Amino acid sequence: MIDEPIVQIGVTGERRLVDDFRCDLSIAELRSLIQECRTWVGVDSFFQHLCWTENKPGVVLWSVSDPLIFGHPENTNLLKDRCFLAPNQFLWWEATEFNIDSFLLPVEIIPHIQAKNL
Amino acid sequence: MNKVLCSIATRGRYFTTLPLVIQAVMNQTRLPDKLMIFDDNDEPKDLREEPLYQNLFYVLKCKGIDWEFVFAPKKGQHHIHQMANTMGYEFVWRVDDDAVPEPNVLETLCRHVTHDVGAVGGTIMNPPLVPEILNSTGLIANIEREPNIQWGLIKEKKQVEHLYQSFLYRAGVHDYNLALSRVAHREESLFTYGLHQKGWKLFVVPNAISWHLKDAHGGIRVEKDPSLYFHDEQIFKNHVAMANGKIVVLNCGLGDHIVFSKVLPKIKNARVFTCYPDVIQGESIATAMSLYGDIEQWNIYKKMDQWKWTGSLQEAFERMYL
Repeated sequence: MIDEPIVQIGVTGERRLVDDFRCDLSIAELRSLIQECRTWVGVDSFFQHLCWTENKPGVVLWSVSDPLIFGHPENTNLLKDRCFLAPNQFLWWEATEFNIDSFLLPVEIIPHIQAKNL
Repeated sequence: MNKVLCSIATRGRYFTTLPLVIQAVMNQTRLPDKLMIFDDNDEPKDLREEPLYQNLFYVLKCKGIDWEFVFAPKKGQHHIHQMANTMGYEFVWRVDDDAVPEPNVLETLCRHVTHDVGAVGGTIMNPPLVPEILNSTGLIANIEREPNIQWGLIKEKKQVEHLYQSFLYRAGVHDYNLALSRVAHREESLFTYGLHQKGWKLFVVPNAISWHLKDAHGGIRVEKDPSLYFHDEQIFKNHVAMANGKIVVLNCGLGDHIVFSKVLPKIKNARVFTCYPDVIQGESIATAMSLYGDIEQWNIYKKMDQWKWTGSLQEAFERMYL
């Protein structure tokens, strides 16, 4: 589906999804990796902000947080439906229950990644 | 002008000056939209049982003034004022329970409110002192060196950096510092100076006189423990020490710090306290708490919730700090 090298980044204990899984990188190491990559895909986390400061647009998968508040228009922000947004956007995210149905399906996401000039 | 809440915090003055103040409020030429009386007494009474108050509450009803009497949390008057500050009114007229306003005070204060005004205060007469015109500047740097400007007869409108007593202020744009002790020493100076630091204009104006009927008994600051005053004084001084700069407290997440990195270069002379010094350099959050006590006023998520924010996170930081 994506004929390009893929690097997974995360923290120790996370499930490995691809061969090149890099754990517990520092902010400086992440910045360097962001400069090397052609694009990226992730959920709403600090990483999308870090890429924004590095001027590297990517794809962000949203569920309960509002991309109009916490996202950046330079990215492709994929929100399944605004009906899934948390009524109060400013509570701790831990207070929000995880709901897999609030995310788009992978087959819906991949075309947006491919559209990033891969 | 939009809705005005009149807020009175009271302690130990049920049958001395409080009834006089309520009567003065109901006889204003410009009535408040609501009167809130916060009872901070150790042993609160149900004043609906008292004939005097039965009559006063009846008159309030006849004059169409919405009123409410609530038992306060007994943590000090700053907690009371913060309750009033966040009740959804555009302005709060805070009236001390021993400062009797003349009938034109609220109307006069309201007349000086424009879009950029944060607070307006008038003269506070202190019998038996003879009223005189003071040469006070109202600047925070002179607070230790001059009598408060509101204690003198104000003859012309003047912009100041802090107010002292019985003033009208724009609600919901700055929080009271809830880390102050129960005595709430300097709470009004700290609050109004905070408005000034955020860019709101503060004025003292003529023809708005309240009579401060001092009494040895009662009052909401009856505590005598000097350590409480020292504690509050330190917090006050730490704020004033940043008179020419901006205090930045980033008690928030990693992503928030990264977004804030785009805002920081626009802030002049910032003293920064941070959770992630590898993203934003600065001192620790523990240091901020020891210096300023209450750091909730810099909680960006609380502010966005309060502002019913729909803009971006970066724009929210800019509203808070620029």
